[in-house]
Amino acid sequence: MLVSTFLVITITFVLMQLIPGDPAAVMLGTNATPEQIEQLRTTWGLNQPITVQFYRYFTNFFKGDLGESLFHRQPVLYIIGQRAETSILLGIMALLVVVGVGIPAGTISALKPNSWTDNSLLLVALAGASIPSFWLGLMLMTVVAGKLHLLPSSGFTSILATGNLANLKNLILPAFSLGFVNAALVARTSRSSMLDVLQADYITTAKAKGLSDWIVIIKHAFRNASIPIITVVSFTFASLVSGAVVTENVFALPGVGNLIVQSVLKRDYPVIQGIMMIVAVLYVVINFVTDLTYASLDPRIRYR
Amino acid sequence: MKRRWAVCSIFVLSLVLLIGAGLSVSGKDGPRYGGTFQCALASEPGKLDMQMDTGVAASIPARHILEGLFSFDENYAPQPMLAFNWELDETGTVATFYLRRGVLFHSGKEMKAEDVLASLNRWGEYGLTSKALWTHVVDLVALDDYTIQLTLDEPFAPMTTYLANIYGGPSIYPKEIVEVAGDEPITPENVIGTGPYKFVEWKAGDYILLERFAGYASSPAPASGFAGEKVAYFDKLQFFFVAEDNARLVGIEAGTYDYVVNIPNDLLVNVEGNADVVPIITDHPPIYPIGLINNRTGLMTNSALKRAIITALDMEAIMLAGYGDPTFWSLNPSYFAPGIRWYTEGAGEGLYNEADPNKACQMAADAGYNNEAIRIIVAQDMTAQYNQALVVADQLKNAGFNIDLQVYDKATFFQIRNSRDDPEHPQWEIAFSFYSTTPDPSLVLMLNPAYAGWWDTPEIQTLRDELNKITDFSARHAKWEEIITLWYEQIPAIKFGDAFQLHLMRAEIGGGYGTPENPPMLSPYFWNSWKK
Repeated sequence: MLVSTFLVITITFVLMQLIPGDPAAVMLGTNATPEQIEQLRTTWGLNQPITVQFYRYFTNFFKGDLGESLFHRQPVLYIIGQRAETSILLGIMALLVVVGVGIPAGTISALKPNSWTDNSLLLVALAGASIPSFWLGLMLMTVVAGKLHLLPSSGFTSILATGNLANLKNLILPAFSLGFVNAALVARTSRSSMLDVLQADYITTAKAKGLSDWIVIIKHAFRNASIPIITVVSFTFASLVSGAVVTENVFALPGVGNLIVQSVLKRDYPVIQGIMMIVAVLYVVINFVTDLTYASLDPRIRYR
Repeated sequence: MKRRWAVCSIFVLSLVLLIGAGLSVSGKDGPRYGGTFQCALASEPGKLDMQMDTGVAASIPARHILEGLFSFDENYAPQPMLAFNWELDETGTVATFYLRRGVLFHSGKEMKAEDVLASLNRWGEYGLTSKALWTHVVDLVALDDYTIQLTLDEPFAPMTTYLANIYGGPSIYPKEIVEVAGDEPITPENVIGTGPYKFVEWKAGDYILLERFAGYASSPAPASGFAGEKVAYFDKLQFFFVAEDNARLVGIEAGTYDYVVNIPNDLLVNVEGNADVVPIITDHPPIYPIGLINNRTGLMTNSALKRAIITALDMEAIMLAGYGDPTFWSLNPSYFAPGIRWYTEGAGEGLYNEADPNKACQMAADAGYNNEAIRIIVAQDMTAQYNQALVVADQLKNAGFNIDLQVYDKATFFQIRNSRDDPEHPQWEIAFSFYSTTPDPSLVLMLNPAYAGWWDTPEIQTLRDELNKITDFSARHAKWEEIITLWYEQIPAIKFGDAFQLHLMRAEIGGGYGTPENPPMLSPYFWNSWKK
């Protein structure tokens, strides 16, 4: 874990230094003079040697200090914390779409392979996998919000700050556009996994024992087919929470994905490095939880 | 008795209904207080401390919080704002400013000379646009609580223009705030000014919230541009950061926002015929798309070659590529747009929009051009500039020039354009950018020898110094005409035309930036506007 953390810090820091671009020039805009830009670079400490900057960042990191945003002049952790609520809620709602649409669609397809239903669902899954989420988002925004006025078009106000659960409606369109695209992947994984399991001998045995179809599907087939599905769903969730980059930008949501884009465009190095660290930790945690889930689903898997 | 009572009741009832009806009519048509005004900006500002920021995005919310000694009226003439009067002695070097009394900061403290001195001194030392003026400042003192005196070593004609400028300009803060801040930007919660709105909250990545300042002391002068009377009709102003153009467009259609700024021109068709949305095309002042030229080293120190390049260009095609429908642009070789008092008639004749590749080819040969590569740099995320660069590259290739078009993202583009890595050897010949209208020629960036382009020939040095010393407007205008004549001899940059911006406003907004009641200025402002 420590080695991984060190590598992530180092690689992120080096990459940031390799990318050309001047945050001070971006901050001051097209009409700034070189003198003004140099003045700001000095204020920000960007004119110090790279080794000094790396040492400062490295030592501060192990004190729990990810530094301060160049643009917002606020601690990186505070800024990411402010954005986390939006991204987590969006991730959960999108995951509901992924799981609620993807798994049933894949399972139904597998139960009736090569039927009209299977082909239709496969077609929808193909469309889902092919449609760019930003296009789907723009279409939903234009029709549902712009023309029909059924849901808000963009933005999100914190529920923690306002206590207003109705703000969740701002996330319905982005969650659907994000979830629908990812649901296609889960549907296809569910279908192929279920198809494999449904042809296994123990399924034939279960049916021969006289168990009802639903018990065979849920208790015997789905449970055994679920390990690859959970793998896909867990990593989908990690990507939904940490990097709904396009969707958050299209819907102007103040989340982590939006922060990544803005920080990269502005070369806000401390924020980019902070997000990279947190995303790395998030993936490690989700990986760990997924591994634990495998063991609970499959008694043959044991961790020592 | 009963009958009389009934008649009286009917009379009183009728009177109440009439008054009510009258009130509701005047309330519907005229200004009214209340509501939260929601505006979608295209980007998030870096900070609100305008002494330390030159960005338009920051200036929009900050303009409602901060004020200076002067402000620009709708003709871009500086007018007293926190000063109520000022005078210049006969030598033109001693300026006395008389401050308005009873002006409160948002903290409740009255603004006095000590605050103005502290703010001006900080700006003079660290402000982003102070250098040209402050190098002439010999002394700055308070004569009493409401009078300050500024002494210069020689006359500096655009002094009040510098004092009225908000972009990196001298906003006035309480003394204790600027003394603590020093060279560090003032944090948003400490951005305490004297404006009609005060800062409440900045949620990073989401919005900036301001609320009406109950103790605001408005200027007694009639409203005009950024100057004069400011009435804060809205209870709150909320500025959202919405980078996606379509999100701003759909947001105004859906009623999520009351005003959205900088909508791409080609999206106008989406709201045509929509009675709920009012398009605001700010053709005055326009922005000036421009090709900066590296005047410091290499090929482009050859003025004859630069004249050959401009001769090849078809400006109409270039503006069409950048800004689409001709509703949104016009051709204009003068630096300033027609209608602005610094406009110069007859600039660029014989060079601007010649669109003659054969003549250009011959001129280039005469200038000694030997097929050396001309590096054009542009940022792809500056869409209009990128589209224009493609057309310019094509036109120059057709005229026989060897063009190397290099496309970057904005951060990299700025780094290369400013040649930070090797200031003496810039890695480009032409860089695409745009300028905003400045209230005075002395603020034109190309006149700054430190600005990318580095135009610093002996001729422009002389004219620049003379321009800054002349105080009479007619004489200054004549000097500016000489500079423009020199511009088309030495071609420090290629101006393509005037480009307009498109904003959208909900129909229920009264007044509103860009309407005849609140004419467009350098950037939007929302005092003297209300919800019907």
